[in-house]
Amino acid sequence: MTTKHISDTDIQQYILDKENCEINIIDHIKICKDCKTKAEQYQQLFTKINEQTKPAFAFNLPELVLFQITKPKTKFSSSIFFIYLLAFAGVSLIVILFYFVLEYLLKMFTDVSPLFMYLIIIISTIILAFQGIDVYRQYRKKMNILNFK
Amino acid sequence: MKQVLDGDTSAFGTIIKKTEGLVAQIVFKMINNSEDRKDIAQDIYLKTFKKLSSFKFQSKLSTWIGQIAYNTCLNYLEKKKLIILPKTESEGEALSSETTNTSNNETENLIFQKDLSEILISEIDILPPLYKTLITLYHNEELSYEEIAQITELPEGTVKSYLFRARKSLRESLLRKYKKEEL
Repeated sequence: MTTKHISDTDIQQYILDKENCEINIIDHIKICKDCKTKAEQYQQLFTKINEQTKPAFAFNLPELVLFQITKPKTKFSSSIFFIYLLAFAGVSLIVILFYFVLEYLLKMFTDVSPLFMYLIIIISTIILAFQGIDVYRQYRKKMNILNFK
Repeated sequence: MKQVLDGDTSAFGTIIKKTEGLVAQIVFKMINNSEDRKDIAQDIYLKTFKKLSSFKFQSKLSTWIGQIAYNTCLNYLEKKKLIILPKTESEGEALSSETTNTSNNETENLIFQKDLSEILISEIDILPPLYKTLITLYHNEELSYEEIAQITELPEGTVKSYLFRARKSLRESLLRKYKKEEL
């Protein structure tokens, strides 16, 4: 057992987590009047802090925020128009490419032996299944966070 | 959150209601002016709404919003040139150690039995904003050291150390207060 007075940090730790506190600290507090008094004061202090009423806003915060979020837009959003234009250009490019290379693509699949084709399909299916499971796990994790679990 | 991202802004109200308590604790402890609190609280949720799509699911949604609240308050304090935590606490510690040495057990115990609740509220108010916030998040909101570290973006060890100092400082200021009243 230690005869030297215990630091405030150790006394606080003793109050917060008695079970994992070192035995010599517990023994010292039992016999040292000064440290025991300090420990009792910290105990009361923590209890009083916990008893304090929680503050709350004196106004309706959701209402105020939602009012600002849902304000009607007065300007035409040029960024949305640009996004649609880009998407249209992208789709058009893919269609044109397919038109020119479709013949060669079909040839590539018909010239491969059936055994090799089955192998490609099986491997692709396995990879897709693993990816699907992973996506589902991620989804569950996100839903738990969103549901404040 | 998905509903909000899909354009259903009213669903954001549910998020506000669920996290308002934590945000209020942070704002009340860091900002003293009640008018500013109103603006800051709105600012916090407007920022949250804008940043919602960038939420990475690496922490609880409430912790992430708490982090936005803490940073918004921190920016406010910096703009107003208010100190969140004194750089050196040597002065405070010297004063407090003097008090501790001269006090006796009976006097010390009296204060904790008398009107602790009343004095405690005013003494917590005097603490630096960071200490107030840490005490509130740990004792009132019952957050773990890890969650507090995420909100304040401080290392976990620093959070623990600041909390110990804050409680020590609070206990000693309560004793000093009582001595002054006695004189």
